[in-house]
Amino acid sequence: MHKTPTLTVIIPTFNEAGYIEDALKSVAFADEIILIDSFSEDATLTLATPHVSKVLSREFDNFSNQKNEALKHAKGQWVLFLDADERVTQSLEKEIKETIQNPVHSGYKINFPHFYMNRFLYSHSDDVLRLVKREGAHFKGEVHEKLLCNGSVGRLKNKMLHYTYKDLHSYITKKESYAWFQAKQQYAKGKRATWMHFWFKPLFRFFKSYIIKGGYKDGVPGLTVAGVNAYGVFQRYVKLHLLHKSME
Amino acid sequence: MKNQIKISAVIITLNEQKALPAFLDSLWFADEIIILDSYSTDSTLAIAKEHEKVKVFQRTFDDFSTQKNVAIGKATHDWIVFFDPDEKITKQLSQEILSTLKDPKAIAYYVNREFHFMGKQIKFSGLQNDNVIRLFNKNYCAYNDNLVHEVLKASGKTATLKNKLPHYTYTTFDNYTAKMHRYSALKAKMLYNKGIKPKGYHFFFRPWYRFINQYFFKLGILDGKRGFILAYTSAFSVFKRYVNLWLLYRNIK
Repeated sequence: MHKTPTLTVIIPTFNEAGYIEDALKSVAFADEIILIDSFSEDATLTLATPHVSKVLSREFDNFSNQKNEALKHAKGQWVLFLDADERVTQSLEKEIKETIQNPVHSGYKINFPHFYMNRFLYSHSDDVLRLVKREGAHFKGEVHEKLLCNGSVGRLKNKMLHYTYKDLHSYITKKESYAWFQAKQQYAKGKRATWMHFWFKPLFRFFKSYIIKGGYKDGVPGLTVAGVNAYGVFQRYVKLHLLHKSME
Repeated sequence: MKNQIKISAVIITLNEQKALPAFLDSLWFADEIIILDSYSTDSTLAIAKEHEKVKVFQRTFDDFSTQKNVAIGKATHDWIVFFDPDEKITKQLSQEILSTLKDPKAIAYYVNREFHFMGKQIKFSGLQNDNVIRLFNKNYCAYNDNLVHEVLKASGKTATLKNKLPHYTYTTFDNYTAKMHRYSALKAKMLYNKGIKPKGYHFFFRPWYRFINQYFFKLGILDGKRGFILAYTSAFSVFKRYVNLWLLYRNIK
């Protein structure tokens, strides 16, 4: 019988005191846990340190660089990327262990159903590549970072628990601060906010989220996701407009 | 000529360090300044205490009406001026207040406000101006118990001052939307207290109606991109109000 391949879990954090401990407990089975923190101002590090193998502190520029830096320190043959608001269930843990024992592929996507306003949304569940062989794995892209691996990609059956929702207000303010980030990137590319952007982009996002992705099946929570997504797009163009006017 | 009637200026504050110094200067015509602060975490208190006419009190904020009524209760004099730190009291307006008080013909005076947004005065959108009581005799006036958009109820004769009051609500966009979010949460609570339940048309009709009303019927379209941004932000705030109401009924945060 050959030895079980080793697994490293990498968790990027910034002010996650309310979430981090449960996330770490859910991956206690890993051989190594690396926390890459962008200078949290709350108790994140104090709470996390007893549970992790290594803490890296790095000024945040984008998610790709942040996670690639952590990858350099990883020693496991396999790497699992986890966010602080995500939890590995026991059945997912079992499947991960079995999968890396007899891998068919060099990377595995995991399904994320979204837990929102006390229910799972039908319309929001994504497959995201999260479990990869360390050799050759790296992130690309500044805003929507993408994990790449050498070889074929499979999919795990069990789902990841994802607590995106704290309360409506923090959900919206998160979109609002993200809008600054996106606006600055578009500004750097020399883009301007046109009437087309103001009128159609938010409408289109609403349509996509509510109709195409099936948000209408999720009642008021589905409508809220669609409405807030559209608002986030609107915010992005308002902020791009403000940047051109040198206003805040 | 010396003014006979003494004036108490009353302010409620929360983290107003930016606007406060100039605002306190613009209250030169008051005999005392009452500040009721809801535990600012910036240097609001330090700035306030430097000013010789200022008396500072602190109280946890519950809603605007209660906070303002408590603040008025701290005033020594009968005649009150109650402005917001984001309003600009012009020289002409303060002189008009002084001359009005030499022989007051009413117990409360309205001022016409001009709305400024993203560095420019808004001329349409239905937001261009509103009348608010800013000078009154406290023995005849009190704020009603609306949680938001509190209105000063005056029992007696009112009049309107001639000079306008520029109103600069806008500091940053995030600040503006944060204010809208607070309002929509408070309004949801008001509806909840009245037992109103969220219905389909609240979600699908009301936000659109708000947008169309403000942007087309009230000619926000003539305010350019600002008009669009204001209409969209208001419509979203209406939408958020009903989502908040829905959450209240389900006991979800």
